[in-house]
Amino acid sequence: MSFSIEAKKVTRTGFYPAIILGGIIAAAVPLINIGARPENFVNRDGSTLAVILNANWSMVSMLNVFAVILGACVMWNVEYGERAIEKMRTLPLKMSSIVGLKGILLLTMALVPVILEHLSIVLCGYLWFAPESNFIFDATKNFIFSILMLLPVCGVMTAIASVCRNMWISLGIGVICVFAMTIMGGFDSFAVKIFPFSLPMITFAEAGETWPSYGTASLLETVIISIAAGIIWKLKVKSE
Amino acid sequence: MNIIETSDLTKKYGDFSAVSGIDMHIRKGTIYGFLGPNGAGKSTTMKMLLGLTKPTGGYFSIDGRRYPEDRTSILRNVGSFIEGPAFYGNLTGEENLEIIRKILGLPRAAVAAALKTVGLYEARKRPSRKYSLGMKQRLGLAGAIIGHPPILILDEPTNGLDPSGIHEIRELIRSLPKRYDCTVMVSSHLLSEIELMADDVGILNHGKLLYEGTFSGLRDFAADRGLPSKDLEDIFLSIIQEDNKSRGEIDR
Repeated sequence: MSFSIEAKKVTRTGFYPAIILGGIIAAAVPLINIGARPENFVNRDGSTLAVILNANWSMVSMLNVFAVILGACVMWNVEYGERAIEKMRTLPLKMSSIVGLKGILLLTMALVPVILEHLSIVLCGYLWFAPESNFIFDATKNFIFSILMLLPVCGVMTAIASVCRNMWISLGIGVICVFAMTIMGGFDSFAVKIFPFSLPMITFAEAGETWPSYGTASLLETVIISIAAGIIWKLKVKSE
Repeated sequence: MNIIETSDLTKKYGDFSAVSGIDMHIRKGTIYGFLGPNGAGKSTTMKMLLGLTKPTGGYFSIDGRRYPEDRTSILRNVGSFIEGPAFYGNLTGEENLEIIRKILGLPRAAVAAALKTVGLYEARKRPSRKYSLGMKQRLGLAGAIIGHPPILILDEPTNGLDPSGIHEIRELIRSLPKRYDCTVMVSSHLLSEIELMADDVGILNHGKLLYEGTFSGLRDFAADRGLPSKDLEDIFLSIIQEDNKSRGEIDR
């Protein structure tokens, strides 16, 4: 089983255009927000990157999470729609490899919006601010951190969508989790912030010196979710 | 030599026995007709042979390989078509088979060969969701026969086909053991269909294998029990009715 097969399976489903379009829209947020009223931002205290992220990242990260939810639902809908998954299960491959590769594909595609968004952030910095010498370096760190923070949500949505025959159920669970994320966003607690759907809202600057804790939490959650997905699939097959 | 053997193979869902301790013997290079009314347990048995559902009792071997330890090896050698066609609707027929080809590690030419065998080559570039039911059925069959696996497990492969399609697929299945030196297990609820395709027959009712053997043996089996033994359709119905009757008496 290869990554290219999983990538092929989602052609003509709207998976790629939806995520790319989502990325373009998310990348447009800082450009429109700051471009429309630069005077509200240029004189704020803090580094250029911190000002841009504080003003835009909550909206941008929510769009990223929505893209991940949508992507996961589409990826698994093609498996269940015409029972293709039944055929896959009669071939000499492991379900865990299909689930794992779909998770990797989702994360790979989630890179597209994050790249576009960081290019947009850098562009905002040079268009309307006088960026510090370490602006690009900090933006790069934030980019890597953002990818790390997206790992658990990619994992959890891959796992949920993989066991839900009906795409609307996984979509509904994802949307409820996003609402939960927005509600919990107001709590200043580490335990709440490491909820898989909340992690993408954290920026590198916000994490500050505690970034290794967030990074470790993200990696641990991803491992736990992967193990849980494996167990759920084993139980699912056993119960059939 | 038997290529598929089951011993006391059982599948229970709570108190309900979908398959009750069946002992099947499928000879290599033959077509085995798996016959039974709807809900008899044919698909469940076939699913167990493919590892899609776990037996609750007994065991089986396919070409000397045992499940679950040899699962991958079994699946590499078995082409299957279970409970209707299963495919990616967003992909063309050709792309669907290309995925299977890559997973099985077959040469590129295998896709075109399978499409030509089932008569779908001309429609290979069309999205499979736009195929008619018969074309989808053919695509499912192409997915089973691609690469000429030594064993084929086909669950009601002619469902949804028009009479000429049924004839065509029946002839195709009939020709497979000679063309590709394979063994075919094919299920149906129609004796007339099995009669035209199979060398041996297994009759299943309420999860129990009532008869297994040749068609001539089936006549003797019916005659021994005082059942009509001339018309195969009558034999099948009377065997099923007798079993249902005895089951009803037991229940009372």
